[in-house]
Amino acid sequence: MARAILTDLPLKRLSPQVEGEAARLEDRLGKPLEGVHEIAPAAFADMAAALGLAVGFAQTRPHGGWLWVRTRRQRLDLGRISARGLAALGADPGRVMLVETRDHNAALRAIDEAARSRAIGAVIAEVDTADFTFTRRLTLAHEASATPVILVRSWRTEGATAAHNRWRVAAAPSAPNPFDPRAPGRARWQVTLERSRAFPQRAGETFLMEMDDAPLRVRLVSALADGAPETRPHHALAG
Amino acid sequence: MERLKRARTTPWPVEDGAPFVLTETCLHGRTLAAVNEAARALGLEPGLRFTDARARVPELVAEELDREADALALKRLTLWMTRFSPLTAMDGPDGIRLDVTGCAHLFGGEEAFLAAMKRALEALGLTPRLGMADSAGAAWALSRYGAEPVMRAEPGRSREALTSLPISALRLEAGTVQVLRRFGLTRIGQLFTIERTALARRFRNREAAQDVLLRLDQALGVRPEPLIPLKAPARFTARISGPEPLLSLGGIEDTLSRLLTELTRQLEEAGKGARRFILTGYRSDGTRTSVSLALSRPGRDGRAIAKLFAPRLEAMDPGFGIDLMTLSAHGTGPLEAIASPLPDGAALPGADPAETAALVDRLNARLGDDLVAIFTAHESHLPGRSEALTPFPGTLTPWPKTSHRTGPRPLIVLDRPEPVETIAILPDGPPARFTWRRVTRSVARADGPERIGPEWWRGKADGVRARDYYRVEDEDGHRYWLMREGLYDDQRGGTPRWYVCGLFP
Repeated sequence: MARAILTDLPLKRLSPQVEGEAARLEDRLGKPLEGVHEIAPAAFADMAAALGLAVGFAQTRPHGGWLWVRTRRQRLDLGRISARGLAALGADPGRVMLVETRDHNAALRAIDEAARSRAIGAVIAEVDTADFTFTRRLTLAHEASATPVILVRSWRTEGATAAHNRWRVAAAPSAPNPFDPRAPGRARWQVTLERSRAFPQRAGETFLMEMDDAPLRVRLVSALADGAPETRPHHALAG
Repeated sequence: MERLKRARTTPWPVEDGAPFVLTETCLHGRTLAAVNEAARALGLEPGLRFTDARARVPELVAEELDREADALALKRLTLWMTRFSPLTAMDGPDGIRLDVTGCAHLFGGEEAFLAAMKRALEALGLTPRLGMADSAGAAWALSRYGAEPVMRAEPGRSREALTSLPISALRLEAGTVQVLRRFGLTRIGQLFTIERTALARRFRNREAAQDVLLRLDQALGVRPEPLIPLKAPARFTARISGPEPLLSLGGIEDTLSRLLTELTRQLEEAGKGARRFILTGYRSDGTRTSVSLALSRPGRDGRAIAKLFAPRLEAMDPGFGIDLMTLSAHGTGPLEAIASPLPDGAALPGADPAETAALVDRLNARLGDDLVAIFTAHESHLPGRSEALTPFPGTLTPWPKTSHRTGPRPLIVLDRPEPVETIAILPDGPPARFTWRRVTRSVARADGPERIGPEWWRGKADGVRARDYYRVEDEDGHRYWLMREGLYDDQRGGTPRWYVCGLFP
């Protein structure tokens, strides 16, 4: 579940109509995911962040398994998906059905098949390239099946897409760790809504999102969330 | 009543009219292992020394016998012979045994059955010798020592058929045969006239006597000699042989749908479903081609199965034509009731197991068997050994709660740890900077170490160094799972090395 820290959001300057839409977007982020989403990392090193956001998105779906599609080449380039890592994000690895296809075309076929099925909660797919036609196919399939599709694409992604939203993710310095100021805290990402059919006026906006292991809805967080870390709890020292 | 049949094959190349032999190097040097008709006419016999044979026939062509290839060819032929009977087995290096109980009438009686078999084998370029009798032993004797290439003993008349055959047709050891010869016993019929106890008394050792009696009983069908088939036949099988060999995909599809109708009817009668279907085409040139389909849970929906088979049928190469097709069901079990949540509500809420399984079947059918995998947990503290991927078992179950807490685990684990150059401030602390994939990163924050020792109880732990894992974050916010193999001064090798093992989101 991604929690947006909307410090960068110029809410004050928005017109009432846009403000209403803004509220809807924030509402949507906590509700069960719908639509076809593209998530592209800002750079290759942000791939893990992109996958993390994909898991966060998929986790808003309370029911059903996830079909996770990737190619063998992606495993060699990037690495394996770890069940314990999923569990660390608060996701249930038991939901995941992992498909590692021989090549890109097989992956596209698998995504297409899964998007048309009503049997699963979400499709997470790592695809380097997906043209407009393919994303259009997916949106049509989604309209029929209502199964959300999350395409995690490469950092080179650009150009037109028929997906409902395209998000661009970069890793951000993690949240302050309340127990140890020198250790990383909860994961945070700089997320830009690069293109949006669902919220066209909000396209181009940037959010700071944070992973939280408690079930959460997206909400506005005051500037305090970025503040200094709390001191170590005393009971840890009482011996 | 059990009727058995043997086929003796000679699958080596024959040159027209010229003597040709296969040789084998054994204890006495190079000897003949097999000869063709022309060589036999010149007086060459298997067992003769090659030098002697060369002396008699200077232009003799010889080749080394390849027993392994022969065995493989025989095995292939044995599998192909399942078109005549589901119970086939290899018998020695040169024979195939078939249990044809209840099969002959499909071909129009035993005579026609043997004729069809002979035709089929001759079409493959083999010279078969067939024997058919009530018992495996009698059939063996008839095929190898019968006067004609095709020998058949009428039901219940094996004894008469065996009477005139030589003693060696009883599958006895050479020494035993010699002893019997010395007593003047050369025909099997002569053994019938001697009382069993008297026969046994003629041998010095009991084993040889028992052996003679056993083989005699087996040949007469008094003692059982079960056949262990090369491949256990499927209980549910449908077969269709067409009048014309199938050459096109359309023909194969048609046949499949007819086979499925028949097979699903069988499964329905038994109240079962199957997890695996194998479609086999027997080509007219003696080879087989088959495709299989695996379901994640037992099923028998003919139309759905036909759809799943569709993308795979292209892999079926008809070659010169398929004249017989079979479809068999394996891994049968009861059809599972839809949605069976575990008592403690462990099944995932909302997920329809039947539909999920159907989706997985479609994906597997299109992309390859067992492609869809799930995570399974293992009790191990080593990160690489604590989880694995296994084929989708038919339903999703929640991840088990771990009994022990571990440190943080990354979402992405590199396929193999990638060594990095590091600059560390403290020998025991995390590095200050490291270079991974040609980019130098400065560590802003770090967490650790989590020390993971080798699993010494598995053995081979000597020389394996303890590993320290750190979670570090660079200045841009990228988070890595770094590992140092070994400690400074642990006396187990040189300077410890650093690796990137994974990426945190």
